[in-house]
Amino acid sequence: MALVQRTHLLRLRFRDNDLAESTCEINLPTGVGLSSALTFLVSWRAIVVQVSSAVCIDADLIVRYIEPAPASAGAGSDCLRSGTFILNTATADLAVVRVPSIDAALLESSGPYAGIRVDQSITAIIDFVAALTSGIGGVEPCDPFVSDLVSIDQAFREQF
Amino acid sequence: MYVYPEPPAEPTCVLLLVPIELVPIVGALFGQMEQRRGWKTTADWEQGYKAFVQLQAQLMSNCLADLIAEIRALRGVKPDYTGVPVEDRTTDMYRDLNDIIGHLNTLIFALSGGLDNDDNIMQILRGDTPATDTRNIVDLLE
Repeated sequence: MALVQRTHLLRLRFRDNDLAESTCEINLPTGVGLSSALTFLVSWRAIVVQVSSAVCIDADLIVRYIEPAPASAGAGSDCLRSGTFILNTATADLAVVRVPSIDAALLESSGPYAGIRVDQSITAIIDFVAALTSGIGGVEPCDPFVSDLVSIDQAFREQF
Repeated sequence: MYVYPEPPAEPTCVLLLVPIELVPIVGALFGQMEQRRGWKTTADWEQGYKAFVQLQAQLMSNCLADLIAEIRALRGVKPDYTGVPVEDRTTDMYRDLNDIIGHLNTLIFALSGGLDNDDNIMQILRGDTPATDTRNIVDLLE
């Protein structure tokens, strides 16, 4: 099933003097281009901060797509079980990427980390790591601090 | 809100032994510290993010097993147990470091040529004197 675009979401996050946080969210029509939406976001933020006594700490423009008729999830799926992929970055730091409900069949079946460590020899994992480190179609992901993702360091299961 | 602490003048750490069955849960707990909202400033978050991802990576290093393997490699397996697979060996199958030191003392005595010259060898072992500055080692090299 093809993904269907939803409205753009503009989210402003505010923090008060007790460090509590809350957001102001509005939508823009899907036909509004990204450049226009970003311009609107900057102006909108300046207007909203005049109305709030808290401080605006974050402004997000989220372009959204949904699966209108998702298939049923497998019986063994569990979004609290995460595949945690730790990658080396170009600045010699580490960055993390998580996949919800890592497929249990992709975990090592023997050794001290049986059931915990991801088997990196499996094709699906090789493809996943290659997409992160080499990119897709000339576009490469980065860490939150704009460092390129270079190679896989560790991959294992975490339980939230 | 967390402020990333100033490290001490002499960096140090603590060794935490995590039962392997708890690694997924402990990793997830560390993972919660990656979120921007928990840190006071962006600079604090950047330091905290990197530190806590590093901690998660360390959960997969099986450090104690590696440390034991290194120590056993240093001790060396006793001749009677060389045929025993590594995973089946117990600590008594490895040489005692005190025995090794005893052998080393004998070797030092032999190399020094006797009681009159052993200071040179001891100084080399302590790193107090370069080997080339001692008569014994230079003699050996020649």
